[in-house]
Amino acid sequence: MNQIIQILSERRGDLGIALLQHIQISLISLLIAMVIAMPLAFWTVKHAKVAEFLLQIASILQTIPSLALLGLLIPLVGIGTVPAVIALIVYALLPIFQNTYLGLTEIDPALEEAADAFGMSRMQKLVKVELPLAMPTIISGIRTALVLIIGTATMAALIGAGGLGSFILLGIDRNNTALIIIGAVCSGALAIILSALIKWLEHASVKTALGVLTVSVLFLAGSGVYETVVNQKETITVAGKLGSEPEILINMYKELIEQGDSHIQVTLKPNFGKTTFLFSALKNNKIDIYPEFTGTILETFAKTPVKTTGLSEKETYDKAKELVNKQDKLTLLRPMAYDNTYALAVKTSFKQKNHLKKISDLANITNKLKGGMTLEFIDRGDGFKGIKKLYGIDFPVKSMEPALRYQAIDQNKVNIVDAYSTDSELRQYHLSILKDNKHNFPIYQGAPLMSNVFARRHPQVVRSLNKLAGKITEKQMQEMNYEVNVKNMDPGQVAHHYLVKQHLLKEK
Amino acid sequence: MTSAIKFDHVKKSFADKIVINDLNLDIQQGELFVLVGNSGSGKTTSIKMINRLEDPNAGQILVNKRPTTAYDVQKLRWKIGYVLQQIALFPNMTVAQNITLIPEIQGVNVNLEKLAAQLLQKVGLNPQEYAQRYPRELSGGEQQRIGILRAIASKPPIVLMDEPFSALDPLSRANLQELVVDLHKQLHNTILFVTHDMNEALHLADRIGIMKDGQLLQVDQPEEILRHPADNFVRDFFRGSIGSNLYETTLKQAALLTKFKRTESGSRAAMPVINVEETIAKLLALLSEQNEVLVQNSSGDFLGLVDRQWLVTYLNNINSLK
Repeated sequence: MNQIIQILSERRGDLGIALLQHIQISLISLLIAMVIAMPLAFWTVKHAKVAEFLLQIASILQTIPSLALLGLLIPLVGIGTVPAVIALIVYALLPIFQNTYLGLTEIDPALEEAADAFGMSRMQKLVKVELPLAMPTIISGIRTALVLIIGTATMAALIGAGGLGSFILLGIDRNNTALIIIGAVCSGALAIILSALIKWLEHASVKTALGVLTVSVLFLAGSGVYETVVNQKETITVAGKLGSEPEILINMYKELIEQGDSHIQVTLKPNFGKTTFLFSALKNNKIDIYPEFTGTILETFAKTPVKTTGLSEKETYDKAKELVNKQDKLTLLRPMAYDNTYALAVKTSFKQKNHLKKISDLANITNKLKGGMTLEFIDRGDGFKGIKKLYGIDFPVKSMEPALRYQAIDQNKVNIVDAYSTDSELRQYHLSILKDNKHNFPIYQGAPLMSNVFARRHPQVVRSLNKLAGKITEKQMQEMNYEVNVKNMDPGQVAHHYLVKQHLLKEK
Repeated sequence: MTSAIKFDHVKKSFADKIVINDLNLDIQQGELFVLVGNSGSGKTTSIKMINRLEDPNAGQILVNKRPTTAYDVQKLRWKIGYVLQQIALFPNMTVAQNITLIPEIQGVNVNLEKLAAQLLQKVGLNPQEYAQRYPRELSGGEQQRIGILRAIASKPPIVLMDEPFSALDPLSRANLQELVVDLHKQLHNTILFVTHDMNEALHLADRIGIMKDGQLLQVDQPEEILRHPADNFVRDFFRGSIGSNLYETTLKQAALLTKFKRTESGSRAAMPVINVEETIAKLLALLSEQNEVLVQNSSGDFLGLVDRQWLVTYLNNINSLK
């Protein structure tokens, strides 16, 4: 509970923005879905066969898992708000169309006959008779759609559309329950409040309903205009993947860039999504810069596979730089010092007791070893399989969930685990890494990635970012991750302290 | 006399079933014409063709001597009031809104509130009490009163009533029949009234048209139909209603068959009085104690006398019908 209150006070601003984004995405989707579904329903009342057909289509769309739908939309419309809104519209169509159609077809035929016999025009009949009578059914359809949209909109964070889902994703990534609860509760509360508002509209007059509609459209238009006005300044958008480490890094980028050129304003999009989302966002100029790993470029982005085992840090960087330049016209600046790769970790006490320094040293004590490792690591060619082959050692290993393996080693159920070399848990559970002296693991060094055009046009930005080249050791990164993940410190603050301490930034 | 509604060789079929076969009928302006027949006889379809809720397959219908197809549908319907069997008040509107709906959609420049109040008063409903109520808060009889007011609010020259009282209880039905007669007198409009109830037809009609299987068997004034039924069906149809139930037959209906007496034997002042709308059963009760009873209408006008001899003659006449 205390943690929740603390996060609420620290992240008030973020929460406000996320909430606003969430409302924007939801309302836009709802309004567009209404504009599509309701006239269609009015029209199909007289064409039962068409209505049946459309209902079938809408039901089928409804069955597509939201994650899959988002994924399918990315190659078509890219990432960000647009695919999120499209996906949400698709989900909202069925309940709105179905209920509008039902509401209109269930009107007592005698009332329809009366309206006709009294010489009402089609429009008069719709406004004075059909709409008011169908209103309760239509409204309940809109409410169903709204609740569905607000819930599903949390998925939008996965493709960089922001919203309350970013809190939930961040919470899952940092194993921070408070963040998840805040995201979930806000999204739930939003659904309840907006749904109640719509319920109230059911009994309101047509005038009030139109009024509310106008206000929400104005709100959307207003916030849209506000955003474009704000964005008119020379801004550079820097995004980061999910997690504390990218968020710390992009905060450093921001401070360095803005120090280097006071006319530039940097907008941060932390926890923007997974690797491929960011990559495609960069290529589509949705964002300008994001930190990427040399190893990831060679393994994930290369259209023809590149062999990474046994390469040195420099060789890996050179190959990665050449690859993105040729293949994607992107510039990878010089990397930082730390190598955030797979590693084998043991308790520091265990390391000292058994005089371990490098992975080769394990050969002497294989009978003592009990491993707890992620399934992926056990299965990867450059993971445990590679270790066995390259170092000629083997010991019993159990597969475990990432979070569980740290607890297992803490409770002495296992004594060796796989890890990422900058994980804050290493610091948290007093673990040490064994040196990969035979270069089994590929090199993962972080460096800013941007388009060639951007790099050419912004030499000052490139200069500012290059100040980080060769800086930040694994220990330092672990420490900073620890401060953010475990001590719940603000990533911006952590980044600032580091830059000041390293004399990369003048103290403000 | 000028024609208000004229059916000219009208045919109508649904799918392959012929509902109306060559209907010819001329209804005069100011008439209260009742179309009577069993269900499925085609009477409802006939009136729905007048305001073009249905269109005939052949022939034409003239409203005020112009074919209905020559009118703009909306303009045509604005000239024709409509009362439905299902009443069909709009549940989302108040009583006042229902009543003034048609002047409102026609964009007539009147004070709607005042109009609603006037009309409510006309049918004996207190505007303060009823104007703001919703239809669901009214009894069936009250609802249909509003249904009738709604149809006449814009003073259409023609009003169509499609079995308006068949879903109501006998008391409400009797009251509303009076209302229709009264309003017809006040407004001098043309009313085409459809019913399957012969008593209702006899009670209301200036002229009656009897329909069977999509054909008009006979069109005439009530008395003429009673005295000279066109065929056995017509005779049976009337016999089935008139006289068969003394508790429902009114003196007014009985007078169609047997005229009241005019010469009195004693002083009028001493005689008991019966309203012409009362039933034969009520008369029986009075005649068990008195020799003669004075018949009046609702305004107190003298209509004639009835005694036991008259009653015997009447029952005899019914018998001769059979």
